[in-house]
Amino acid sequence: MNTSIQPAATSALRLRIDGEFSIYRAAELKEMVLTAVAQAPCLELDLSAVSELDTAGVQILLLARQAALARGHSLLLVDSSSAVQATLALLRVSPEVHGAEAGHVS
Amino acid sequence: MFLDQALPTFIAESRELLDAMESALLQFALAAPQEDTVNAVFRAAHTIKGSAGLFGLDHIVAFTHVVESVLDRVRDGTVTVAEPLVTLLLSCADHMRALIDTTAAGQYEPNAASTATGSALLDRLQQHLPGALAAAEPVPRVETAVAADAGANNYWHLSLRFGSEVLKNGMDPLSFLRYLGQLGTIVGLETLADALPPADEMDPHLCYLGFEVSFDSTADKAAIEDVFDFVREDAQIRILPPHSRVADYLRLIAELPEQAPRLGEILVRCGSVTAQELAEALAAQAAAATPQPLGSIMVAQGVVPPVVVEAALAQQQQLRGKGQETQTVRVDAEKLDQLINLVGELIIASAGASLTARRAGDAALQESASAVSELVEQVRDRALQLRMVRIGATFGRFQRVVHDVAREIGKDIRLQLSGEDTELDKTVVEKLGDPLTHLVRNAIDHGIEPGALRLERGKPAQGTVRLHAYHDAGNIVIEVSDDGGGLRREKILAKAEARGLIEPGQSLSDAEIYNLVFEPGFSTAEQVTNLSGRGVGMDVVKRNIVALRGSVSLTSTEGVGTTVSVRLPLTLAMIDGFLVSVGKAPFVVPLEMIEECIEYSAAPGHHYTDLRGEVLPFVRLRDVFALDGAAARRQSIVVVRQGGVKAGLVVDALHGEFQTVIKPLDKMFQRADRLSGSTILGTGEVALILDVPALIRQATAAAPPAHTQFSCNN
Repeated sequence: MNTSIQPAATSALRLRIDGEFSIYRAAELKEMVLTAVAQAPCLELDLSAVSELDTAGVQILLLARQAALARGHSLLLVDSSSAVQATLALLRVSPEVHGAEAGHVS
Repeated sequence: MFLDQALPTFIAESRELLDAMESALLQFALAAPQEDTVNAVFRAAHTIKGSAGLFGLDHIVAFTHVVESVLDRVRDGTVTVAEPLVTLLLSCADHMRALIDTTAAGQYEPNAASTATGSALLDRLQQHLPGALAAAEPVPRVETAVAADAGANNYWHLSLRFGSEVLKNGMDPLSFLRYLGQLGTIVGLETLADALPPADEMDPHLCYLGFEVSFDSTADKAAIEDVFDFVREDAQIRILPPHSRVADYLRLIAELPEQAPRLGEILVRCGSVTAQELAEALAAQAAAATPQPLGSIMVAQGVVPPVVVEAALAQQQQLRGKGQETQTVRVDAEKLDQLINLVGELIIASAGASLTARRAGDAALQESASAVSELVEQVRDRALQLRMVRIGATFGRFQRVVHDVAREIGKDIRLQLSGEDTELDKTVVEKLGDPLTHLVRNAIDHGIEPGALRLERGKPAQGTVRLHAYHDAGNIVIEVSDDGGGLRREKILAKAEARGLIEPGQSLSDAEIYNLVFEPGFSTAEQVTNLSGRGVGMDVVKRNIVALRGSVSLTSTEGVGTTVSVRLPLTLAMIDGFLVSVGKAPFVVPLEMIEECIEYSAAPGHHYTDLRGEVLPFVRLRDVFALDGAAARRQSIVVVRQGGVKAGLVVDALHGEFQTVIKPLDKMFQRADRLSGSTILGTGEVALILDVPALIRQATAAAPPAHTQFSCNN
């Protein structure tokens, strides 16, 4: 399980998370994702190597979405593993905040 | 009309059935339900429903039918009885009782308040029924109404709010949703993140999400509910069957934590309700002057096919016609009281007749007078027995008190009963309820320690409250005991000193100290905390018991428990007495308390005598009541006993047994604490009945006897 933050191709910051995105790492993940959202006006999440996404993980993504909305930052999913896609589809949620939405605090 | 006349019988029977139902339900709470207790509950509900139908009490029929349906599922094993269901069913029994009570008061239609309670209970009952039932075989008459109100969709609606600890417990709401997918298709789903707090307050290990799910499935409600079996305790899981009425969705919205308009949108988005339906229903609800709980009565009516009810009724009538009425006769309690009063007069008259016969010196007349008085005595016993009831019924009621109070304050307490077959006069039982309730509540609330503390003290976490009854010397003794913390002697002493009830440094026996809690000074709220709550209203308890010619005492061991003993006469009407006299004044001693009579012998000035090697303290009635005249040459000692303590009463003459009809003392004499009543002799003279326990206390007290304020000079 390793995680890397690197400048994305565009001016955005890219955060890549792999392994379990779950309750077992919830505290650590919350901290990491929120820090990244705060730092980057445009954060790209790469979840292509996430093996599992559970409710705790979804909550963190939604929290990140709130944080991004509040700051007027955008948050994008660039690549997601099938596990991530399945969970997000089941719950009908997406953490994404697009540029257009950013700034409209709901 | 015939039915009007039968209504009181219906009400009386229903109340009895509800009593039976309640006690059976409480047994569920104690142990796994036996088949016959389940049947008893079912039968009670079934009979009430049937009879209510006869009288056209449709609201009772409608409500009871749903209760019965749930019970039916308990009976066939599809629903298991757990604590929440028992509590729910108990509430239902309470509601049925309330409905019966309003009927008894002459209201044959449901009122708004009872409808509201009823529909709330029905909603909870529905959770234990297969969804199909709500829509099953609707009555044609009602069907149109239901159809008009029913939502247009074919889907279940599930409203899920998981407990915040669910993730920590190793369960993931996602897995329940995935599993749901195996029972049917999730048509619509909304994840609600409204409860998600700001980032720095959010604990990533807690669950904040809620879900509204529109679900297409042929599974029944029980199967869908079973999905959430593991999390049901902490979670709010609401399941609405397909074609639920819009009103049900509205109620759902009202019950959920989120804002109503937002939830409305969500339901629309899930596809459970159409926007038009929602708008119409909301408008209708707003327009209604009184916010009536929409429609649950309709559901209830929808599930009661009248034909079925009628058939059940006919069957029941047949069953009831056989036998029951020949077994017992219902008699108005007042008629019984009149009879007993008359028997009292008869006894006095018969004593008068015997006396006249003796004076006339006619042997044949005396003989027939004594035959009459013997029969009168038997009549008296039988008459009193008619009014005797087992204390078990009164005890049984406390199962409910303990169950409710223990739940309320979060303690695990069981009630242990013994001596339920002990009988006592109905008039005594009626007056016993309040003081006993007080004592039991006290034991639960203040006697039994919280579970953690009990474990710390090495006791089982479950506290025990015991109710025990037995006969002792013409009295009934009822003990209320707990295995709690006991009374704290020093605290009571300190408080009593502070209150000026005792002198500082005064030495008191344990019994005397514990009895201080019955003093009025100990009944204010402030002491509740200081004395761990003992003494709350204990003076009131004592006053009530004393008013019944009884007494109350308390023993306690710190850390082990407390026992309060209430001692009461079996009846308030008559006793077998023993007539004695001092000078010309006649007195009656209750015969049950007399051990024997012996010749008077004592050293002058002493207050005790030698009873076969035992020291027997005594009191001289002449001194106690300050009677004039010299003592007779051959005085006697009547040896009396109560609760293992013996004492002697010194009297001038013994006259023998005497049937005593108790007449209460006039208010003026009620402070004469060595007398408990009066009676009328055959000659028309008044004799005073001695309060033996008070005299025993006086004889055994170290202090020399004080004169009473009351003097008797006849």
